[in-house]
Amino acid sequence: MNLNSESLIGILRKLKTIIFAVDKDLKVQFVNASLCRELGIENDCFTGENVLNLLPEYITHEYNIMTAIKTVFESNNDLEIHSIYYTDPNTQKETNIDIEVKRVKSEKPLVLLLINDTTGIAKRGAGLLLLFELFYLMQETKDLDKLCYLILTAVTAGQAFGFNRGFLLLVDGGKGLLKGRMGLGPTSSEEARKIWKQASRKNLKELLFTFNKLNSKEELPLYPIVEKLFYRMDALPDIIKKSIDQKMVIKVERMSKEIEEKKIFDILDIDEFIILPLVSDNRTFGIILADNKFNRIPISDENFDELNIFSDYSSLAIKGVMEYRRLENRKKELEEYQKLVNRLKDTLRFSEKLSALSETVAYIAHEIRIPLSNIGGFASGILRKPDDLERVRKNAGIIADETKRLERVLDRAITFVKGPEIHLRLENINDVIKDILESMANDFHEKDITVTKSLDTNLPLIPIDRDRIKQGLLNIFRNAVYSLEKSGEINIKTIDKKDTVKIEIKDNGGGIPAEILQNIFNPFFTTRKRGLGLGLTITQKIINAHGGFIKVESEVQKGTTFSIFLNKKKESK
Amino acid sequence: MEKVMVVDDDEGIRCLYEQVLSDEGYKVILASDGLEAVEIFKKVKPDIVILDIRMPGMDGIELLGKVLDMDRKLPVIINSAYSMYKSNFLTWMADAYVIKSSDLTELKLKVRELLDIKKE
Repeated sequence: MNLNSESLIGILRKLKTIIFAVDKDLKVQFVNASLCRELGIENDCFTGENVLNLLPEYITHEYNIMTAIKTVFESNNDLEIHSIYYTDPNTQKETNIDIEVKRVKSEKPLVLLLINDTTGIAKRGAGLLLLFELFYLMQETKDLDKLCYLILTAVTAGQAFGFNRGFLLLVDGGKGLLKGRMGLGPTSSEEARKIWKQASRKNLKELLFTFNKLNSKEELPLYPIVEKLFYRMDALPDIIKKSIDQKMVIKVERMSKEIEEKKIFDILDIDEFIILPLVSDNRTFGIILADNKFNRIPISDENFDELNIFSDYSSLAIKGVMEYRRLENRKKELEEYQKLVNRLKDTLRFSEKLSALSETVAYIAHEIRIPLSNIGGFASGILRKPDDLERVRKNAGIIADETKRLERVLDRAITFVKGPEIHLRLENINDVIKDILESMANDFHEKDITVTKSLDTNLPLIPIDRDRIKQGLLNIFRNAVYSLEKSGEINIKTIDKKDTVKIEIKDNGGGIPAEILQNIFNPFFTTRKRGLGLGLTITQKIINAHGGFIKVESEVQKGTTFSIFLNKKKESK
Repeated sequence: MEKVMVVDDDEGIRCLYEQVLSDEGYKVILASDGLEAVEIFKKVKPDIVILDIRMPGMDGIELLGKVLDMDRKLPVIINSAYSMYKSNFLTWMADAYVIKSSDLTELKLKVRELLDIKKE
């Protein structure tokens, strides 16, 4: 005798469990007595029959029951098959079946095949577990469409709320609209059956993975309906407004008298559906609509509690994503702004360089023009009176001097462009300083400047280019003298540091304001009316070429201290 | 003999102008900076002044103001290696602006021209 699908489901719905005890050869040893009673047959009617012949095809086709039984015999571990869905072809009624295969300790090795109707229980028990998993995933999601897909999967997956279709509408604050964002579910009964068959074997993560393969939400089959779902926020249908205001899941029926707005029923082509509000902290994010268009199972209010919790969680998750998007946008804006600032900075730097260049040109023009016009002028003087020998001699002398001057201008320009060439020899830096002080004695005397020195007499000889260092230090001394009023003071020190020798040149002049201090080494920067702004630039280049460095400290009205550090050993490069 | 005062910090230029302007028949008075020029000006009244702009201490523009304070009608020629001061409105107080060059023809013409105007 074979149990056909309808009779098995019918009995299962009534009994909730059907039990087959099966031996190693898959032969039925006994069944539960209530089954026989229901079928009106003897208790031993099925004894000796192959169990596979008794089970309906939709179970044996989809699941390898034989392997399952053999596995349990061999491994001694129980096995469960969850979520087998059966939809009655006539009534579209859906039944959820679990099959347990259990080893029984008895004289003869047996397994029990328990076929359970879990239509109600499964939805609540397994469904809750699933919701937890979903909530966790929802928290992780940063992408709005992915989150919408997750939410709608929970609404439609048989393992969770199991609605046929779900639609998500979001508030577009800028436009003041409540607009369809995404729809999930089949477009026909045909498709519905196919999806449910597949879905029962896929776990949630696999379902979500399907979304990653989609390019956009527009590819989902329900999108044409989604597009039609939009309302002005200030003219929401009463029923939607009620759901949002009361933060409650509401079931809506076409026949209900309190509903004036019937358009939505036509768009969905259904007579009843539910509304889940997505509200958090008094902020409305949107709503979810769900219906059972294909199996037409009436919506019962038995899991409204879960739906309410679910709608709270979904709102929180959407809020999270929105906040995240807002921050991301803000971050992007800031990055754009930063890019703009950097571009402007580059432009500014470039124009600063240009203006420095034009000053260089002006400087060189000036430095060349004067000796050049002098040479020309004195040469003309000779031509005018070639017989005035005294004048010829004098003018020729001046022309020779001016030519030397031109050469010096070029030398300096080249030093500046190429950086100084240095030839190191071991020298005593104190001697160099004494040289400089001697050569500047006149300048000090003119301004009545007191120079005090404390030179460390035990300094080692260090590798320097004496002439270059002299040139570099001279520029610092000249600046010091320039900054001093009459009867100022300059203090010079040499100090033996661990790896370096420090030269400190301190004046008690007017000091350098911070905004100028940061520019003093820049070429062509000068506060003097006459002066090229190259002195300290060249000094720095010389010190750097020696592998040393300069530090400047200055306080307005108190004075400035230049500290030059020179290596004791030749830098190996 | 008409007296031309040349104020320039460059020794070569002073020497050159002295030679060229003497050849033209002027008495040339030299000053190397603004302060010296003011001192000399107190003792000797020149008929015309040729001024450099970039000088240490008191620059040409400042000196121009001082000179005109003392003698409003004195003709002044600004003589600079730079053309950029032409746009400095303070230099508009001067009667002429001549850019330095080895060819002193323009300078000589301006000196003559301004002295002739003064005579009229």
